[in-house]
Amino acid sequence: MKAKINILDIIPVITMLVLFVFFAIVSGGNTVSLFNLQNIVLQAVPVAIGALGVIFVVSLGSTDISVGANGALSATIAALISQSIGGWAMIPLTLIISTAIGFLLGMIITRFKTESFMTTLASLIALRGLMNFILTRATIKAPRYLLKISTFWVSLIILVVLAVVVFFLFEKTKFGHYCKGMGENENTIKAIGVNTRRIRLICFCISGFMAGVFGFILLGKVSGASSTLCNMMEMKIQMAIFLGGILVSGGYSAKLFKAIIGSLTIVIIENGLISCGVDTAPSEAIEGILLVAILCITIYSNKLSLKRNDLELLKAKEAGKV
Amino acid sequence: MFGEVILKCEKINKSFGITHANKDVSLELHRGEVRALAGENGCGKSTLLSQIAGIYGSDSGTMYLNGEVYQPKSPMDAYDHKISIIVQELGLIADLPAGINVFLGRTKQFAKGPFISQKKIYAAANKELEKWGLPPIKFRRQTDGLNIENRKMIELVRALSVDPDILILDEVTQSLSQDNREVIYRLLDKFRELNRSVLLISHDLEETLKIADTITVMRDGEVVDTVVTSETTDSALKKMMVGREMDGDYYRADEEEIYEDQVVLSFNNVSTASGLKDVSFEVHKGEILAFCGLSDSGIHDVGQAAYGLMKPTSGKVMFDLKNEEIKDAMHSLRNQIAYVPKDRDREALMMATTIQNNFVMPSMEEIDKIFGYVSMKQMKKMSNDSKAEYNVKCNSINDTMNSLSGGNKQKVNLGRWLMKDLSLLIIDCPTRGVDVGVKAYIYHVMNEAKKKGLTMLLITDELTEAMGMADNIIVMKGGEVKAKIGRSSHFSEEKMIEEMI
Repeated sequence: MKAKINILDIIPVITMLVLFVFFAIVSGGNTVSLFNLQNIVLQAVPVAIGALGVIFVVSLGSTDISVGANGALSATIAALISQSIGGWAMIPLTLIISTAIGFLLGMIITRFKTESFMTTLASLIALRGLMNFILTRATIKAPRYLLKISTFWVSLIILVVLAVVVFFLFEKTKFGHYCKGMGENENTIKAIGVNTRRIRLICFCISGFMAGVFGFILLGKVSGASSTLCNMMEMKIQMAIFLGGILVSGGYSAKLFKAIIGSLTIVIIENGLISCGVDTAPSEAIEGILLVAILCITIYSNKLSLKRNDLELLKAKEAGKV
Repeated sequence: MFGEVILKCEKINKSFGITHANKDVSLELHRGEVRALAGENGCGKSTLLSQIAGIYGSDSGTMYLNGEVYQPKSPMDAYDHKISIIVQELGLIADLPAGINVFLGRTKQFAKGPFISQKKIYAAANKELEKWGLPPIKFRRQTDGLNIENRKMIELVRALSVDPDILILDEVTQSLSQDNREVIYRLLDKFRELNRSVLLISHDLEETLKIADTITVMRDGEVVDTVVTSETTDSALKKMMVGREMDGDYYRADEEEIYEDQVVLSFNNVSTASGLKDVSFEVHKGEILAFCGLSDSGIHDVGQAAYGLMKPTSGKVMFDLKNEEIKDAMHSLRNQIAYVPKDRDREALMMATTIQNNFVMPSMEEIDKIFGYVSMKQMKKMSNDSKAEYNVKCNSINDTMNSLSGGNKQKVNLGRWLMKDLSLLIIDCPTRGVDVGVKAYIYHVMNEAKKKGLTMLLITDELTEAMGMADNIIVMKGGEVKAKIGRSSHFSEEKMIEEMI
């Protein structure tokens, strides 16, 4: 039997390649220099790591837009505390705090059955506010060794290790299937007997954990906390996930490689515009317009392919009857 | 016998892409006639009704209403011609109050300037109830918060509110329990009295024979014949529908309780917040224990409580095979108990994903090897095996669930549990909305499973189904157990209805 090729699986890859080639030509080869390729990967790593966490939440049909603020705040607090107890504590502390924030959000969402979008939006505001408050009271410097972690190879290795773990968990275990099943129809999973509350809670914890990881990587890059730390990260991550062809409604359209492809795409656009010499301000506007266009293409072609599948099915049925 | 012809269809054709749903269908409906359409799933009967009600247009052919050419452009247009339909799938807006749904699209009559008086709408809706002699409905409640039966009744009120000359009912009774079905039956009598007409579809042949005056049988989009109900039989109809001879009995043939002494599951004075009161019973190994009752009798809650989806406020649900109390649904799943909910599409299956994913989901705990790892290969094999075993008609297990017909969906829904080594199967209305062929098949599968020693709790709205399959029937009313009747005492419908009401 021929495996059916899903448009939502291919279009994002094609989009990424087309954009890559386009910018390579327009920039006169600037973007394909070794240095710039490294740069693209370096920029994509934090986005991809964040997407590795948020994909769990998105697969449920929920969303988590607090990750940027979560990563920034937990890295900042961890750095603040480790200034007095020693730099080694920075990384574990960040992860503990960010996972705890994810856990707290998960608890609120599962206990009080609040909409995840509103809850994480509210907490985004609160967490950012808290961070700005801390920044007015103290100057926060990252430990020295963090600078090394933010380099190309180390951060790439972190991504690869996490991606392997997430790939196993998300694609190969019953937990992953329950997550995606909940996105398809939560009632089904509940009626089967699975504790859907717990699954959702764990997903938010994972999302929080990954926020911590990109939190300390980004802090290491700038070596000191400021109010712009992890700015817009939550939006970039969401965008990466949807650009990769994962549906907002969650379910089995969620696949790990799509999140990675999406992360690369968004960075290729950013990087390409700058390499072509577009100023920062207009480049953001162009980036936004490009993103909308790509989303339209992805969704529209998916609809077309669904229709074609239906037609094929009809034909097959008719042929079976005759 | 009936009045003059009110609706006449001449050589109606309708295709969907390459599927020919209706081929030269002609039909005459008289005033005061209750006409049923019968046929297997996909024979074109729903399509025909939809065309009459203005939901679909026709490719060719003409319809005449009271002798005039009738070409409805939309359901609203059909309303203006005093034809209204209740469709198979629920057509209500979940977030609106029930009363608003009744007059949706026709709220102008309640307008005062730019505002619409909700009070007047509720009053008008209640007036309709009175007029047609229907039981009360909480019109102010949000539609979503009502159960499937009440939602169906709201659609009924909506259809009746246009004061129809022709009322079209597409599979209305299948989601209703006995008391609400009686309401429909009385309504049909009222239509006869008023010299108005009804067109209906019911998968329940016995019911069709009971309530219709005439029956038009369809097969593959064509009309086979129209017969007068009093001159036909169950098996003659089946033969016409399928086009070949069918085995007469699809229920159990024996007349005795057959099961072992070992108790599998028991309720000890269980009460729940949803309204179960002091329910106690035991189900034994190899027994089919059926639960019958009216819509608010709590029979569906028994299923949920037995699986651990609903926590008792007092009393205990015991899994006696292991002598453990059932604490939550995960516990039941791990103890090889299965639960098949009533609302197949909304509660049980994942419609947008593949058949394979639907097949394997309840077996995750078993194929889990280490760290929750589940093998793709094994899942594929399992799905292919059960697809073959339960005779699911599809091209591939990678097709989406949506592409299957109702009967095949139900085969997946049951098969995915039956392929496991179950200790107890709880099924809520297993034959809801499937045609005779699949129905017979499901009973066959249940019979086979029983022979292998499977214990079942059968919760059902259809008395005949309970009487046909069960060793013991528990009749419930208002959350309480009213009576327990054994198979050897010969079930009688009258006796059970008496206990229910």
